[in-house]
Amino acid sequence: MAPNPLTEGTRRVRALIESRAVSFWVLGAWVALTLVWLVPFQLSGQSHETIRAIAEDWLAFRAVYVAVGLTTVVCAWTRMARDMRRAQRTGVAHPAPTPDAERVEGMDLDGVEATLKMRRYAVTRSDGSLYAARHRYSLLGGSIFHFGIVLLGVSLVAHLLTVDSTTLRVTEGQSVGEAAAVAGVTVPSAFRYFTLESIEPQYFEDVLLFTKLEARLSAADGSSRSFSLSQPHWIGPTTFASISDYNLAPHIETTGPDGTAQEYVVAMNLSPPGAEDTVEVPGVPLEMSVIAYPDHGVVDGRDVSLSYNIIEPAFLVAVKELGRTGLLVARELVRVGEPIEVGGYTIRISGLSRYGTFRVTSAPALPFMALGFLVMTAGVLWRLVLRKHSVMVWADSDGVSVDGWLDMAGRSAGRELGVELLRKARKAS
Amino acid sequence: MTALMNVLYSATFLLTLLAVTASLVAIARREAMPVGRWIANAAAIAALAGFAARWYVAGHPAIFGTFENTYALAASLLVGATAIGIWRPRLQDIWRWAAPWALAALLYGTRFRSDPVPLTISEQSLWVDVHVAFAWVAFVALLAATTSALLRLAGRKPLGMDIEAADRFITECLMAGFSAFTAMLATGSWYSFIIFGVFWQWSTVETLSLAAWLGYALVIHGRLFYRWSGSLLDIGVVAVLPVLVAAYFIWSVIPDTWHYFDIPLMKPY
Repeated sequence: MAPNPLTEGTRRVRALIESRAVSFWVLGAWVALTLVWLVPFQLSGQSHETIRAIAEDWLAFRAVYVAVGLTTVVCAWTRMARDMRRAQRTGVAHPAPTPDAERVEGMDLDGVEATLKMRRYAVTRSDGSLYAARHRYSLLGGSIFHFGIVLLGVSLVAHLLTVDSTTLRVTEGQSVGEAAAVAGVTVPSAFRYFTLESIEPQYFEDVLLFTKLEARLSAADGSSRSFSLSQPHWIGPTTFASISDYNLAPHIETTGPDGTAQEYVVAMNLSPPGAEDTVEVPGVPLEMSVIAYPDHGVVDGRDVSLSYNIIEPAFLVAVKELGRTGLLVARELVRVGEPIEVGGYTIRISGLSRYGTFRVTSAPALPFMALGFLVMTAGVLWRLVLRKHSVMVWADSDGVSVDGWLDMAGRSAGRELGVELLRKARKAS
Repeated sequence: MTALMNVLYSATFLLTLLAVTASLVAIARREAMPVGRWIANAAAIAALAGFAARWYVAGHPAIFGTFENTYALAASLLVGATAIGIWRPRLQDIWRWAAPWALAALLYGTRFRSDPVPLTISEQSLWVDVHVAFAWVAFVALLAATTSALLRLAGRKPLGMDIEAADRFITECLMAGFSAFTAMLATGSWYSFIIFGVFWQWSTVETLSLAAWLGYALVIHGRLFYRWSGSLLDIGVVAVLPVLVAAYFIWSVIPDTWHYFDIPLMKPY
């Protein structure tokens, strides 16, 4: 009967996907694509966003990712079944000693069998020869490693689809919930009830080397926690909050012609020194541009900041009228508490707080990614540490001949290991 | 302590230079071999002590900035070669492979700032230390595989090994290097997630590291699937070397990456 072309075609496609050649060439295509279509763009100074778009969105790359995923799953699955069958099969020694078999004098098959069994080798004895194998299931480690890669890949896709990251600015003295309400974002309740007590930035000597950024937050129960860039606060198993930046929030106090005073805390971008930010003065038809000198000093007649640390803060404030004229009405260097008089109004920076930019990241797929990585590690360790070692031994009148195989090391290494093992046993006896 | 640190660095440099010289002399006069081995061992001790002294002075492991990284690489190579020589006496001449790479690394490092400075906030994490430790283990193992391959391509028998033994050595180095490289990528990705909220950012170092990782994966598959051996295996291993070296050092030339550690110490005025 003629073979069914459809079945035959399916079998061929399956065989192709299962084949090592396809998985090898798919991997090769990924390497080539990365080197030819990614690295040159990267080295030519394209932005990270452009590179990300090429690597994640281009059809050729996506096709390669799908092909890699498919061949990895199919290859690992078929290989696992094959390796399992191979591990369960009882091996037998060749009918006669192989040409490279090495002699060990003064041992017989009983002694060899006892030695190997003591070392947990599974021994199959035939007439005048034996076959022994240790760590027979070691080959499965390769499949497990690849299943780990697949799990990691799938959970990475799930992660990209489900990860949620929110940033919000919290000023010293403000609660996270209040800051979230102002920003119109939602944060987990376990984080909402924290209040920012202080932020401590520190730079090395007088240079731009950021050596400390620590935020201290107090919880509703009175306890307090420290956050730093590299040590986030875990709100749950898959959610954490971290501080990523800080800046300055001057307290702006205005007093009107009628003596009414108001104070606002305004989060501004005034760091590093020299950065200028503008804000409309609340309740007054004026806007003010501010440059902060956190460690004010005068060098060659110029106002400068001697370091990046907040030691002697001073502010260069330019006040302009709001509206079309934009007329500059005052430009003064002031310290905390010093007034600026403008058209009957008094403006002063009455205090200085800091605010932190906090990021709350929720990644529900994190446990699956961790599991994928653990499976990968387990697979590698299984295969590398517990290597399959098989030994064939043939007896003759005054000793035995030994040959062997050690996984990923080859025949001579397997033979050397077998011979060494038997010689040690002979010496000990 | 700073003076001791400088003395130990100079000693490492000079001893490595002497070891390379002894290695070259040994091509013509074999009796230079044991002398060279002892010099290389002394260089390893000086490098390890110098690394520790710099750690003490700087207050952090000496793995930040090109100068410290090249010093860490040189120390890893010299100490790794000494350890392998003690562990496997038949590989005791492996110092001849390590010393030239170590000297090259030290020479490259002299072009960069050497004053110890404290760590910036993103560098202050045990994850960074673990990430870098895996990086140097991977680099040393992969460089050992590459050196062996280069020697074979030049028609030499690396450490007197025959084809099968050298294939085995290269495979073991590749496996160890690849595993450490994978662990390096995993710890680096994790730390990136902690501080930036993303696992991968497609910076120059990351892209080149991915290319190197895939390159070694391809060579390992070639070895395991098709039993690549001899020159085919050697060509495969050597072909990935430029990508590997670029992945480790590109940031000292192209600072378009979060791996940039030679931060200019700018004053605010």
